[in-house]
Amino acid sequence: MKILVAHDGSDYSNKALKKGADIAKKENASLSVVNVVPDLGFTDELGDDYTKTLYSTLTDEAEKLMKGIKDDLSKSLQDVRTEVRFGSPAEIIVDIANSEKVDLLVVGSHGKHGAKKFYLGSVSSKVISHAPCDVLVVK
Amino acid sequence: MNGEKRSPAALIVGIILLVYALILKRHEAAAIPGFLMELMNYLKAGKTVDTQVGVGIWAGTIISLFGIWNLVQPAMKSKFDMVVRAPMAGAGMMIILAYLCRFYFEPIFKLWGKAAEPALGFNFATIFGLNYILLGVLLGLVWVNTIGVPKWMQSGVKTARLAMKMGVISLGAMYSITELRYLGAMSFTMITIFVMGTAILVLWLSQMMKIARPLAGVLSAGIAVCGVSAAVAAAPVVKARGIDMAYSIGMLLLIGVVGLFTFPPIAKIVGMNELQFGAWAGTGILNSAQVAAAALIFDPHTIETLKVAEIFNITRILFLPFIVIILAIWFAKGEEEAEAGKVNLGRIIVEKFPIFVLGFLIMFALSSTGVFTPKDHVLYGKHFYSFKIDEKRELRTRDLKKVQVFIESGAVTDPKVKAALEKLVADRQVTGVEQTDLVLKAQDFTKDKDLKKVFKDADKKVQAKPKTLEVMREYMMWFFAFGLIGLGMQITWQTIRQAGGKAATIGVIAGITKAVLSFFVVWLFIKGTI
Repeated sequence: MKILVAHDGSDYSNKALKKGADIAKKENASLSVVNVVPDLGFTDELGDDYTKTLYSTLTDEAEKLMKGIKDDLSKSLQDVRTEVRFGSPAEIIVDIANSEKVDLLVVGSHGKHGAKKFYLGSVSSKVISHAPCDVLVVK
Repeated sequence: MNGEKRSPAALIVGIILLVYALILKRHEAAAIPGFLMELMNYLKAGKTVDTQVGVGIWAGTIISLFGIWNLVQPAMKSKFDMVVRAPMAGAGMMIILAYLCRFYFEPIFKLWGKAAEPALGFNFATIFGLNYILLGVLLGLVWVNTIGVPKWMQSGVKTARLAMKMGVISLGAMYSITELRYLGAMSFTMITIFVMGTAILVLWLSQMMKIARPLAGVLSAGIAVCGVSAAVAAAPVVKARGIDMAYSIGMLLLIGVVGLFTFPPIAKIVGMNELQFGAWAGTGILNSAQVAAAALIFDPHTIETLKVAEIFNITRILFLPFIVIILAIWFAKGEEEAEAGKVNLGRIIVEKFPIFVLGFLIMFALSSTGVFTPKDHVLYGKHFYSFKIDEKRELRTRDLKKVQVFIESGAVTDPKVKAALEKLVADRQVTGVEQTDLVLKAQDFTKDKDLKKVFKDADKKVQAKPKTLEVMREYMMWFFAFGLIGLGMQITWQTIRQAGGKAATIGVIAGITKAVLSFFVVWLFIKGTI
């Protein structure tokens, strides 16, 4: 069994991660955790250098976070993988669920971005409607 | 090996431009009555046909040639390919959009505005400034948020930034020393007060609302100085997290967009002049491109407002390194380990100095040496003058007689004005800059409308339009029109909706405070014209 957790550093995604890890332990499943650095759209006003600063900061943070999670979970789980991707979160999550033939997708009900009800809230709803597998939304 | 597909996009776009220009040229030359010419007449666009044909043939040919090249051999990863060949298709598409806005949409709205005036009681096209600049921004905005920017256009859209900078650089040639000194002093005073005031306000609000210091720092740079680029520039010294930057960018873009669309109509309604609006927009609107956009929306057909606004904008950009330093010191104070020593003012100034400002200054310097203007042209106030004795510049004998009678009537009490008028009668034309002022001043001594008109004519007749600068101005407007469609395409809902939480509250409070206060300062203290 393959479980995929979408993690963005928010409290909700921590809850989702905990749930995912619990299930993985019980079912002896493999666990993947993905963090998607969101594409913020065409902020060309920034210019290339500043855009690089922005995304490299976001990516570094995501990688650090994922490394911590991996170190932590490896103690109790056999098969843990983490990944940092860039793009539209919902699309990438669904993409991975498809390509890696994931059996269960675990997401938080809200994200950490400002206008919560629009942003990651909309990610979880998009994921629910497009995912090829069961989705567990953790509240 | 190449991953790129051969793209016909540039060739198609180029051919569309070229074919349109050629058809228009043929129809105009042969005066073929038909749909196209009727449309031009309906839109009252007869005068613009030359520009449409000229720009269309040039741009269409160049883009088509690159289009053929791109089709035969796909653009690879070399610098030239990335910078010149890949953007061709998107850039061409943006020229087409600029065409639509300038030659079709603007005239249409002008007609509609006039048609609806009796019913509405006001001309909505004038009040909302529905000119090609605003329509271009709107078109870009709607485009990117509905159909999105297709892959083949993306690198072209990125050239908008460069185009805006080219626009500002060419603008450098349009100032006189007097203007630059006057505007420089004014902007320096206002910008100092507002940049410092806003920065302090944001930091104070952040403390009140208990916002984390990195986010407060990024927000304060962004709202005080020049929007999103300032926010990211300040991010490293306050150790901002990526999410702080994302929050702030969303916030700043939102405030900027609201300002861009509300400033011009408000100014129209209260009746601001070019100087006032330029000063207000240059102080109150956050992002550089949005300042230019607002100035051109307010006044798209002359460049007076833009000239004022850009000086304010450039002054503000030059403040960035200082704000970064101040934030670094402020941030270090709150940290356990003092890190202020690590920040080097000199290095930051050199690193953050915007190259385009240098270009602007070089253009200004070149222009002041007179390379763009014929020898006998002098720039005085807003206009160029040529005082060479010439029949074209002479007043009619009938008018000169009127002036003579007026002098003899003794109505002119100012001896200087009197002398200037006497010289005017003797030379039959104005012969110097001081004299133009004095002749215009003579209007105050009479109520006779015809006579007033004679004095105005005397001034107008010696005004000159240097060809090089006129051509430069035309190209500059294209740079801006092109750049601002790109600006519209940067305003994505995706970015804006990042804004949120307490950061948004602070942004809204500080943004509105800055806009409102700068409005009143301008309204109360800036009188007169350039």
